[in-house]
This record gives sequence, structure tokens and C-alpha cells, in this order.
Amino acid sequence: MIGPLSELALLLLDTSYSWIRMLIALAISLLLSIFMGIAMARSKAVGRILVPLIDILQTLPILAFFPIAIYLVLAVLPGLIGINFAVIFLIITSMLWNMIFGVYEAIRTLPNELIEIGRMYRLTLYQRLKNIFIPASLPRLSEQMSLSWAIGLFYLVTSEIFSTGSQQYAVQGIGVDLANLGFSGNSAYYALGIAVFVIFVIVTRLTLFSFFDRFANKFSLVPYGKRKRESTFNLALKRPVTGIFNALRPYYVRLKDVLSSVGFKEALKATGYLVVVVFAILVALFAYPYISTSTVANLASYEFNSLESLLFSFLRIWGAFAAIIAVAIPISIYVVFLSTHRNSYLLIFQVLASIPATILLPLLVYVSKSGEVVAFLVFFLSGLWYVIFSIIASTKYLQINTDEIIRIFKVRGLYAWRKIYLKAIAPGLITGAVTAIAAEWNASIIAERFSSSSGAVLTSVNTGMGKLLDVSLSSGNLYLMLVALINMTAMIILFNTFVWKKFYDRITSVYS
Amino acid sequence: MIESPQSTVNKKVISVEDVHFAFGSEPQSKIIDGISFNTSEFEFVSVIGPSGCGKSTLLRIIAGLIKPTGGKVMYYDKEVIQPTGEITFIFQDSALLPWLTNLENVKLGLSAVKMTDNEKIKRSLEVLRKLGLKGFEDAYPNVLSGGMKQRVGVARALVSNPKVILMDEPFSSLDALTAMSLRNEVLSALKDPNIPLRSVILVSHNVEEAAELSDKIVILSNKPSRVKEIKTISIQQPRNTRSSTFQKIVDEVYATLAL
Repeated sequence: MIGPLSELALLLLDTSYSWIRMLIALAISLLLSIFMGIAMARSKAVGRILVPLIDILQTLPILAFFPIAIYLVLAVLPGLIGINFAVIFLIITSMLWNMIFGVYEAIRTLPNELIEIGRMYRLTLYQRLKNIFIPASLPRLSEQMSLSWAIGLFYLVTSEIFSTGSQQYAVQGIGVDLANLGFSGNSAYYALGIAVFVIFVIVTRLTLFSFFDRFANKFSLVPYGKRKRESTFNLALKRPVTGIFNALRPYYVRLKDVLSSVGFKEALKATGYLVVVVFAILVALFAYPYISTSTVANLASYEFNSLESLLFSFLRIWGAFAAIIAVAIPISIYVVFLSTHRNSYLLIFQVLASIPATILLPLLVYVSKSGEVVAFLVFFLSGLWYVIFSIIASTKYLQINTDEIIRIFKVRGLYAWRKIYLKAIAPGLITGAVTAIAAEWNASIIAERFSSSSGAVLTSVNTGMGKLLDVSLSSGNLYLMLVALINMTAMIILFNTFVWKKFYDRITSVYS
Repeated sequence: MIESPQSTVNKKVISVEDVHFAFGSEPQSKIIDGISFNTSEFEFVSVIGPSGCGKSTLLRIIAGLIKPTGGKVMYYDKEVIQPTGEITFIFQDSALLPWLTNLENVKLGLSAVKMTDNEKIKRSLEVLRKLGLKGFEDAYPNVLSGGMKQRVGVARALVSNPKVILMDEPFSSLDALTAMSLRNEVLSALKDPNIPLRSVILVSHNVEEAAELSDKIVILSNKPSRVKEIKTISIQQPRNTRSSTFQKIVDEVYATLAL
């Protein structure tokens, strides 16, 4: 019995390593979000610069930058310190943005009198932070931390699994173990590993997050009498849902901000274009002596490669998203409006959703030899829960009214679906879609191509952004990687501006 | 007006001099359109007017929380540009920090005062006790009733021995009995020469309340507000609100408001 026990010990140890990375990232995110969020909310100048910037950062698939981050960090900090630094940095980029917006919104909605007290009694900056701003932001922060933790786990596992792909980058962690166990066909230990992971998730929720939530709610502005009394277990289950709901709210706030500062935005845009043009001219001038026909041809082929890969990944990700919608809409409508066991479903969903889709990669590779099928399944699982939770969360406050309307006016069948259910879930669907698509792009770096530490390609699509990034890293082609990343970033920003913003405008004009 | 024994009685404490305020440049964003009045030492002044006429904004300008777009506010011979520490504020809904105990909330009023922490605690306890909050020092505001919360708000304002108290409809959400006792608390502090308090300005839409407490009522017009009339009331305190003289004053104020 030495085998299974020592394997279990190893799994527990490595999960602890992963958790230490997560906790360091969470602590740093906590500090950064408090100070950045308060600064953004209290200083117009800081807010005008950071709100749109963080807005963009939040929707960028930062995991796609992991290869280049590793490349750059390892150049400065070689070895395990460097790789751990890169992983922690990456987890912070997944946790930070919604926490900042949580603090930002808490301070923005703080009653004016409480801010005036600070001025009236001439509190110093430190006294104001300690007595007013930090306490006031804690309840929101607690909700956001919960969501951040879930997203962070996805990043942690994905980046760890990605690091497995190359011997020199491998770290010690549960993601690496699961990839190794899964790909070597050791299914019993692989299942044990997933069980350990899920238990860690549940225990963390019931201890650390439960504790922080109780602590943070002391600082709620809602009077004690009006707070719902709920058991800790209930709270632990519901928090991720309210967390997601609250993560959606900043979008509305930001939209209003952006609209009200259109003049400034135009100026910023113009300056941005100017900087880009000047920069391009400078680069061209410096590069001119070195340019030969072959470098131009190379760059052109990189650009062509990138656009082609982008197109294929785009189709794949949106194809998977169509499947997500087809599944998520009926499930959420059933759970929200029709089922009487809503809370039991939520419990099951939350346990399932706590397993990052990328952890299942070995299983999926085992299921299908086709790279296309594997990629589709990883994308599907990466985005599914975001849509379902977002819909369920956003209908939380609608529910009673729609239920009464349906019963009093006896709205039934297809008509009820079209006029009530689908309309009621629209805001949740849109906000869920944004996070789901972002999660899919993030997953692409291992969904579209993955090779074992010995270099054998275990799964791969023919053409795709994730594949291109992986190949360019393993072949050390930094320029190709940069061209690919620039193309992808441009696509995401254009898509945000021309597609998602339009949807938000519609939704906010009708629903808020 | 009855001659007071104090020699400084006619010294102006707060002078509001042709104050203007607008939220933007459009004509309809004009809130306050040239208001002037002043308070003398030991004077209680009420500002009344229709809702939305900018009473609260005016009070915040006097406190130095908001800058006027025109005119100025003088505190003795200094212009008020920012909160001074000598002018304090009692907010409409007490505005206590729910995460601080009542004692800590009151102590907050001494933040900018040079005192040791022990002295601050001692002073805060003393004021809390005086306002009948003994036993609630370590409780949190949310377990208190509305009236008791506002008592803590009054204690926080009085703790730093301010020269001027500005009150923004502080009694409007309280029951009549609690409101009366709090009013008397402030009024007796004002009339007591051993307490540094020299002026109180109350914003209200309750004519009876204003008439009962004030030496002077500033009646404002609709937005953009101007001073319609400044009415001096020289009946001695405590006032009998059922007397015909008092009722006559109330009727006159109503008549001016309705004009």
C-alpha cells in the first residue's frame, strides 16, 4: 500500500504548492485592488486613465501572453524562481481587474455624507483610508475575491499544464501532476488527483472565504436587521453566484463613465493614433538599413500566418460558443424558472464549475484522437459555466415578478419562452458571453496544441492561434509570437468596440 | 431684540455674502442666485424654503465642503474655503460609520484635534454620557434606534467644542419627542456662555420647528433661490408654541413662503 499513499502525499504536497501560488497572488491582488480602486473612484484623473485601460486588460486573453511572459521573465530570472514569478504574475492578471472594479464601485456608491465626514473632521489620508474607504470597500471586495479565485484556478492549472509541455519550464504543482498522470494513462491516480483538487477547492471556500466574508460583512452599509440570516454553508454556495452578478455590474458603471467622458475619449484616441504613427515612423527609420527583401517576406508570411490562425480559432471558439448557448439557455431557464430544486442544482453546478476545464485535457485526449474534437470540447467546457452562472445570477432579482406575471396571466408555452424567459435572461447572457469568450481564448493556448515534456505532440489542430503561439515558443521564434499577439489583441479590441459595446448599449437602455 | 449681557453680542459669526451656485453653465442649472444673511453671536438662525431650493447645498457651502460659484462665506473675519474644524455639521440621517462603535464614531470628531488618545476617549465618553447614551459606548450604530443614532451624530458634532453647528434637517426623520429633546440639547448648548458654541444654522422645511428655535428665519424662494425675507423673532425662550403671538409668526412665515 506504499504506492497509493505516497502518491496521495505527493498530490497533497503539490496541490499545496499550487495553493501557495494562488494565495500569494490573492494577497497581492487584494492590496493592489484596494489602492487602485480607491484612487480610481476618488480621483477623476486617475479614473479616466485607468477605467478604460483596465476595461481592455480585463477582456484580453492574458494566458496567450504566457509564452512570451515566460520567455522574458526567464531571460532575467532563470530557473524555478523565474517560472514561479511568471505563474504568480499571470494569476494576478486574472484576479485583479474585477476586484479593482469591485472596490471602485463600492466607493462610488458610498453615501456622500460618509465622504463629507472625512473632510468635515479633517481626517488625514491615513485616517480616511483606515476609517472610511477601506472598510467601505470590504464587502464588495469579498464577493469579487470569490470570483477571482475561480478564474485564478483556471489560470493556475492552465499555466501549470502549459509549463509541462516543455521540460525546462515545468513547475511543481497539481496541474503538472494531473497532466503527467493523465497523459501517461494512469487513470486511477488521475481521478485521485482531481478528487484532491476538488476537495481543496471546497475546503478553501468553507474556511478562508467563509471567514473573510463574515469579516467583510461587518462593514456592510446594510443595517443588521435587514440582512438575510443564512447559514455559512448556504453563504459559501451562494457567494460565487452573487460574485459573478456583481462582477457584471461594473460594466454598466463603466459604460456610463465612458459615455460621459466622450470628449476626453476622443482626445485620448487621437493621441493614441499619433503615438502609434510616430512610433511606426521611428521604427521604420531605424529598421531601414537592416531591411532586406527576405525580412519583408518573412514578416508578410508571419502576418499571413497570424491572420489565418486567428480566423480558424475565431470560428472554432464561436462554434463552441454556439453549442454553449444551445446548452446553457435551456438549462438556466429550467433551473431559474421551472425547477423547484434550484439550490440543489446550484450546488452541483458549483462543484462541477470548480474543476477548470483544462484539467480535463488528458481525459479528452483519451476520448478522441482528433485535435479538432479535443479543442472544441475544451472551449465548450471553458465557457459553459460562465454563461450559466451569469444568467442565473442576473435573474435573481427578476424571478419573483416574472413568476407572478406568468401565473396571474397564465402565460404558457412558446410565448412564455419568447416574451418572458429569453428576455429576462438577456442581460445575464450578454455579460456571460463576454466572460465565456474571453475564457475560451485563454484556453486556446493548450486546447489547440499540446505536447508532452518529451516533445511528442499529444493533440493539435491544423491551424489556430493557440497552435501558432505554442509552435513559435518551442521553435524560439519571438517575432512570429509578437506578430501573432498583436493581431489577436487588435482583434479583441475591435470586437469589444464594435460588437460588445453595441450590445451593452441596447441592454443598458432597456434594462437598467 | 432683547439686549444680552454679553458685550460681543453683535459680532457677526457667519456672514453669507451674495453666494451663487450652479451645477453647470446653462440657466436651468442655477441653484442659488445671490443669497446674503448673517448670524450674530449666540444666535440661532433657520433657513427654510421649498424642497429642492438648494438649502442643503447652501449649508455645505457654509461648511466649506462645496465651493460657491460666486460670492463668499465669512467666519468672523476669515473666508471659509475648506472645513475649518470650528464649524461642524449634523447630517440628515446621522451619517455614522456602521463599522465603528458609537464611541469611535464620536471620537472621529476629534481626529484633527491635538489631544492624546486617552483624552479623546475621555472627552467622547463625557459627551456621550451627557446626551444620555451611557451604556451604548461600545455598541454599533445599527443596533440603535433612529433617535439614538442622531444623538450620536449630535455628540460627534459637539465633542470638538465647535463654534458653529450647521444642521441639515437633522430631526426630520425622528419622532416628535426625541426631536424636541435633541433640539433643546443644541439650544441650551448655544445659550450657555461656558460652551464655545456661538451660532447654529438649521436648514428645515418645518416652519413650526424653525419658529420655535430661531432668533431669525431666512425664507428662501423656489430654485434658483433668493432670500424672500429675513424674519426676526424676539419671543423669549422657552417659547409657548400655543400662544397667539407664536401662531401669528408661524402664519406670517407660511404666507411669505406661499407668495
